[in-house]
Amino acid sequence: MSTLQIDNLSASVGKEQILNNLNFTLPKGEVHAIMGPNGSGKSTLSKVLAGHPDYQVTGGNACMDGTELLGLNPDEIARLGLFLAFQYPVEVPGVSIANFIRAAVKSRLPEGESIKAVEFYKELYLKMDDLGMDRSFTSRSMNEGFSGGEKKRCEILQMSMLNPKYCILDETDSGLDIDALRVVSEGINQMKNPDRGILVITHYQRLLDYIVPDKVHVMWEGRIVRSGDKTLALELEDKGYDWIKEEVAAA
Amino acid sequence: MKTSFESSDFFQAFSEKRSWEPGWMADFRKDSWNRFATLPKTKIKDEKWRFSPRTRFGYNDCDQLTDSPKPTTLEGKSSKNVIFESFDQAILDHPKLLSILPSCTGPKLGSDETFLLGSSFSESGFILKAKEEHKEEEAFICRHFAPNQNRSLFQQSIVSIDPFAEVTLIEYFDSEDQSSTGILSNLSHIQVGEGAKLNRIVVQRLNNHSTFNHLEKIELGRNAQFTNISLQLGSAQTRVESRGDIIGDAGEFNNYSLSLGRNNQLFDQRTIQHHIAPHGKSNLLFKNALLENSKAIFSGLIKVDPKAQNTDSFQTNRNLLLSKEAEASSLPGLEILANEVKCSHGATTSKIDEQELFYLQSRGIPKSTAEKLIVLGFFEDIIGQTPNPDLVESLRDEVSKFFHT
Ligand SMILES: Nc1ncnc2c1ncn2[C@@H]1O[C@H](COP(=O)(O)OP(=O)(O)OP(=O)(O)O)[C@@H](O)[C@H]1O
Ligand SMILES: [Mg+2]
Repeated sequence: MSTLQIDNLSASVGKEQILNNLNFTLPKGEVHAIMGPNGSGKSTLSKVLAGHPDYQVTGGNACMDGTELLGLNPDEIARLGLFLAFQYPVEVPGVSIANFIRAAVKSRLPEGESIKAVEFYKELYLKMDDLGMDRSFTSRSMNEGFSGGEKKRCEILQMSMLNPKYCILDETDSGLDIDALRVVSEGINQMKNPDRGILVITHYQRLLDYIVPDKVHVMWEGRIVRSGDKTLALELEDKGYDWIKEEVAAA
Repeated sequence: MKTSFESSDFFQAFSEKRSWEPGWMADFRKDSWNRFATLPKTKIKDEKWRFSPRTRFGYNDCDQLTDSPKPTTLEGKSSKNVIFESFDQAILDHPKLLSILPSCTGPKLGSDETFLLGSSFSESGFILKAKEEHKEEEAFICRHFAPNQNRSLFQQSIVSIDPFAEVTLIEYFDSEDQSSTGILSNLSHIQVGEGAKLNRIVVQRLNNHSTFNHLEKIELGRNAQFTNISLQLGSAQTRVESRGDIIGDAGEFNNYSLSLGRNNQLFDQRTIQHHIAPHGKSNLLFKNALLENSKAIFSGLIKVDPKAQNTDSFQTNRNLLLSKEAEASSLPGLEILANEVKCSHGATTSKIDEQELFYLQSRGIPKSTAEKLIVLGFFEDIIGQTPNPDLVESLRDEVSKFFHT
């Protein structure tokens, strides 16, 4: 029950089928990585799980700790405990980081209960310090005019403020400089715990040097076509994807 | 259909009610009413009412005056340098200040009828005069009340800021009660003298059965500065006509407005930034966020006279639609007769960004709250213009409160 379990998931956008009978299980307490060529459907998988309205689910199930996610509204899915750090975080003009995160935290409180402002800011500032974010960022509009790396840090900040049960990090390492990669990886590692499952989507081994995965999966044409331990990532780094594509074609 | 305002008996009865007024005021009313009675018939096609469902602004359903109009209440005192009084009191105390009335023309952007009715039948309003070089830290606050029980209330106000004085004025427009229909028609005559500064904030929260007519003309002297921030939140329908005339060299006119449309609300906005003197600056930003079946019309003109060289003038209208039924029409206009000018105008209407909405929802924020945050974000560059930082948060709250009523 303590898993994010995906069975035979198929999804399309418009007429195009993108996910094809995808199977995948992420148990709590583990870190998994998904790698795969551009366009293989990694971001689509994460957005389908988060309830994005652009995608039509054409078959399958996705259960989080036994609760079916497919068909729920994005905000319900999030409150159940799924967090998606976006590959391309969206700019929200005029909505400050502080107000945004407050609203997100408040949405998890029981009706009528309000946030204790002092504690909220204390926690927020602490986590910003950890991520090397200047405190003045709290009053800036969410992601507006942020550099690529600042956007990614801000995703991790949100994740750590919201205490999700399962985290999906979609190419959080892209756009980060070497120091930022370390800082952000530390932030992610701090989130590791026996009650939380973490899925990192990445193209590069270097992230996995910091965040060591329990399992590595390869996605191709909307399916997981191979799974292995952390050495699979090293093998991919070395050989690329062609050999896997050939194997799939042969099968 | 005729309204009782057109009947000479009706005007006669009104005059008797106001028999305490001095002769010059009675003459002014009589003259205004005569002009009203001889107004040419409403044209079927009137450019100044383009896109507007004009009948919604008619007086037919509310063509009686209230027996006991609730007067504008004032917070802030007169002092040796400031006159801040109700309009009625000023008729008795300051006839000289009111002597400008016969020469006031109003914005002249379509509502001649309302302007002349207001001049004839005004029973409320205020005057604010700040004497030369007087700087007042505290804001002057006026609370105006729309009538109920299918009545109309007309009111006028005069704001006159003498050279080098600085004043902040906040005007609230509310309904007497939440359930009944009424029309509040307000005329504002505003003059800002040389080097003087007026910050003015309007918060309109009429109940959703009532009509608000808001006609204003602002005249700016040399180096004068005027900044207006309007929050149009309430009413069933609101017609705003706003004229800013830059008469003195290097006057600066800033006009910012936001409207939050719900249900069947209509916001009909007509503006002009008229540069008469050189080196003037004007900036206008009107933003409308429209939910449900609400509707906004914006028609704005930048007019630069031949003598008004070195003018900087900007005009922007932005509309955010939150439903398929909401509707926005925009008519930006330029009429530039000087050659050394920097002018631009722009209008955009867009739907709420689905990716933004999803992003907020993906953090657990329910859709309605996400929409509210996006709208507040959309309004932020209007509210952020508020000169007094203490007021910013309270203006945000005003908008926020209206979101779920
Ligand atoms: N909203 C959409 N509209 C049209 N096509 C889409 C949409 N979303 C995804 N696709 C298509 O689906 C395929 C998979 O895209 P996806 O973003 O999931 O790939 P990815 O594995 O995340 O790639 P990358 O490694 O480049 O991030 C691509 O061909 C993409 O063009
Ligand atoms: Mg991707």
